[in-house]
Amino acid sequence: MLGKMMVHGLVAAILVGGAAAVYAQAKDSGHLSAAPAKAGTDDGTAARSDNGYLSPPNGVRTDRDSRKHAAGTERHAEGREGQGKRHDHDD
Amino acid sequence: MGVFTSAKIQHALLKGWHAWLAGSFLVAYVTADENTYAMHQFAGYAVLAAIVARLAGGLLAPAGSPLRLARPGLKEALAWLTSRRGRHPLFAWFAAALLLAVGLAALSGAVADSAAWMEHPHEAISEASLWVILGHIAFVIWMYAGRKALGRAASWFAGMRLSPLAKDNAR
Repeated sequence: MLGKMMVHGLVAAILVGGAAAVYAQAKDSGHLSAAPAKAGTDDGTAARSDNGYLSPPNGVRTDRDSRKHAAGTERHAEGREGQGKRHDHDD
Repeated sequence: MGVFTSAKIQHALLKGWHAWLAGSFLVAYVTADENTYAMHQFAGYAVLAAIVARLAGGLLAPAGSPLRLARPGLKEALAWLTSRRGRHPLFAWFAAALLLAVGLAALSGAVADSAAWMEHPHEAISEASLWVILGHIAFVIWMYAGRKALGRAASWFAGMRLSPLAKDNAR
């Protein structure tokens, strides 16, 4: 009797645990979000949209406008050209 | 509704409810971590639903039904202590304490979902309810298996002590 009840409890735990895992997975992937998340703010807590990626603040991509990253790569590329020549010479 | 009037069905429902509550509480307790918050939330609401269903069933069940909620009373407990007959009063006391403790733990968890200040009381109530559950398990094991085991052990011990006497008598 006691053993049976413990087995029933464990079976129920497996069922509830499985359902909870499915719920957690669905919530994590955004299937259970009621409305699309709002665009994040600049405080580092950017909200998630439905596709699982972080939304840019105010819906505007700032990286293209500021061009800091792009400028950096250009400079880096220029530097590499010179270095490459030097490497060729060394070899 | 006629199906539910059968005592057998009602006992089966009670066992199913017991498994539901125990399983949900176990999952909620095990997943009480930030990484598994969604699972904890789901299991916690399952516990709350089980408590609400039990209270509703207990209120709606007719008199004499096993689904009726046990009402602990001091008078009944004192009467049992003098006569030692009938159902042990601790069954009813434990049932009420469990419903209260687990119900409060689940309810405080639901409140903590929207009110962060409730998180610490929720943790404390949940820890306390675990001890009530462990006490309930120990009591039930003692009542159904422990006493029998103790009786068996006592008779075995008595047999061991009597065996030299029996040998002497045989001579």
